[in-house]
Amino acid sequence: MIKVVCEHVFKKFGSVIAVNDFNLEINDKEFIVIVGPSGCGKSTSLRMLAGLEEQTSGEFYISGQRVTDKQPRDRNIAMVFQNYALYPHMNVYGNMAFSLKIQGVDKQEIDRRVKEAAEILDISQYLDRKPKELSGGQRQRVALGRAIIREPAVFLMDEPLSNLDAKLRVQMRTEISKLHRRLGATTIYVTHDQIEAMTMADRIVVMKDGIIQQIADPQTVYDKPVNQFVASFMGMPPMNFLECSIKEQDGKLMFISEDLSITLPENWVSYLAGMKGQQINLGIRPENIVVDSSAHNIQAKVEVVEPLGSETLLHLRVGGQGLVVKAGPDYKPSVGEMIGITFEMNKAHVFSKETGITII
Amino acid sequence: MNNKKMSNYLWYLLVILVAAPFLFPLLWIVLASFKTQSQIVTSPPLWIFTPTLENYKSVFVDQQFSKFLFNSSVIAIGSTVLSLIIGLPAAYTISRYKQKVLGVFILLARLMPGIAYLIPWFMLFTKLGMVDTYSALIASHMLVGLPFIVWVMVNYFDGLPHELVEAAQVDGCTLQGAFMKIVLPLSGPGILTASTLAFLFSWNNFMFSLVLSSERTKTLPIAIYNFVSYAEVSWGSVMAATVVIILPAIILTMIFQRYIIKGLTAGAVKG
Repeated sequence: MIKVVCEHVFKKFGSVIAVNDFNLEINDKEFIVIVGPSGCGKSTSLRMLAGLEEQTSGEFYISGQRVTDKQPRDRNIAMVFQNYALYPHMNVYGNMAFSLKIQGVDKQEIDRRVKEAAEILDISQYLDRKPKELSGGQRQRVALGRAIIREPAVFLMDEPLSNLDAKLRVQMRTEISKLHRRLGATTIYVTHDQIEAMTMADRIVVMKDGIIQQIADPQTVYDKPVNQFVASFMGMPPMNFLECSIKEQDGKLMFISEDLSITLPENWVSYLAGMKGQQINLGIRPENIVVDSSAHNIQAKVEVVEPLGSETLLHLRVGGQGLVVKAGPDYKPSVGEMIGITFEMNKAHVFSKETGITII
Repeated sequence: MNNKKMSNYLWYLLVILVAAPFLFPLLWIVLASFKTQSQIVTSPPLWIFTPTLENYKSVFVDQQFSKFLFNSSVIAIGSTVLSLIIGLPAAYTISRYKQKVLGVFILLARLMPGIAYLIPWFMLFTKLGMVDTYSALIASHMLVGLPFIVWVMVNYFDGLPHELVEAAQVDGCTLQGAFMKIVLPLSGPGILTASTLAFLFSWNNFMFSLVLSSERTKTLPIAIYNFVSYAEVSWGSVMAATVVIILPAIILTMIFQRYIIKGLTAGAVKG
């Protein structure tokens, strides 16, 4: 039973707080993805857990053992780095065998485990090559091999795919997921790529400015973001936000802004009745806006049409505000055309304009 | 095509023009070392003559040059090896923990004119009874070698991705273990450059050796200096001895030139 606990972890660089009260409990065999923009403290958090960076305060536990003051080698972890960090003077075999040699594992056992790991990762034919003779994808496999051969309690991965080209990244993503299923090892994976987070994670930790914003499974993070930052960070293209005020017209509560007026859905009225006259941000994902020629309440001007083959992205303008809409692949309006759209309000969100916190 | 050939020729002509003033004295020294005293002083200089090994014989047999060669070797190798033993971990620490200020202080020791150390050292080593010992000379030569090694290696280590050491630490190494197993094996060219140059500094050192050595530990540069007596200057022997001194320098530089250039520019450009 391998459980990882991070308790009230802080990291300060001078007066800058890089990680602010990081609390996380990771269950056995769980695949956790920490995601956030660059500089949000995600890598620092991982490096502190690895023992490569000293925390300013806070505690770490792995399998019930307090490891806060322990050296990286005494934490029973393996780490995969963004730039692979393969030892250039050793061949693939040497790279993979390195940790076992240090542990004093006997030669036959090392040989067996290296070959087994190489088999799993499909790098058996490269064992006597030097890292520089390998492609990026192969190097990343070796780095994974070096990690799995140790059979550690926890795998830590620091943006392992960001040096790979887009196609290889997708391929390695599924391979890491497969590998995780096969080994069942507790894994903490850091990335700035929300697609990696969505596709790989059991649970996602979204960070910004050193603070954890939300911890939840991918669908929950997507469907029920706790604030506007999480809503905008997860999803591609990102969620649209429209500045509106809540006003009463003809006895009905409406979202009103320039060239836009939408009646509040019935079930929202009780939540927002008290906010009459206040400014909010209405959030709606591109796939939740429907192009509808019969709709007359929202008229949008087409600014850019981006056909992607499987769908078409429309960049629209409603009053002063921009919107991105996902439409069918065959729908290609001309630029400058006015089209009617409707919002699927049951999928929309309302965020506080001041704090960004989700109201609905 | 012709244009390219032409510019090639021009290029070589330019190289020869630049190199000639540097190489001519060297050529003159080597030729003179195989001449008799009268052939050397002949004007205009003789370019074709029957070479003699008398000068070398005189240097090695009469002047006991093998002893000075041995002294110079012990002191140069000793000071270089000790400088490496102290300097490499020091440089790595400075690089890893970004202690640039410390690095500058070490460099300051090097930038101080060596002559400033001479009198205090002479008094110190006399009191300790260490004048004319290998230890005193090795220690004094390390003043030049050690800061140089630290300075070159800090730049070199800065160029190594620190993730390599972190990976080794996660893989089970202590920091010292990672230094020995990962950092040092990857630093061959840098270490080669730094130690070659530190060796040559010591090999060529005149001032410290002049004051701190005597009969027992006399080094090559001092031995040559002693050739110049009141009565006469045996130019042939001086030239032969000079060839003996500069030969290791030339050989080392020729062998390691590729690394030396790489080492001196280490960290300047990401490879």
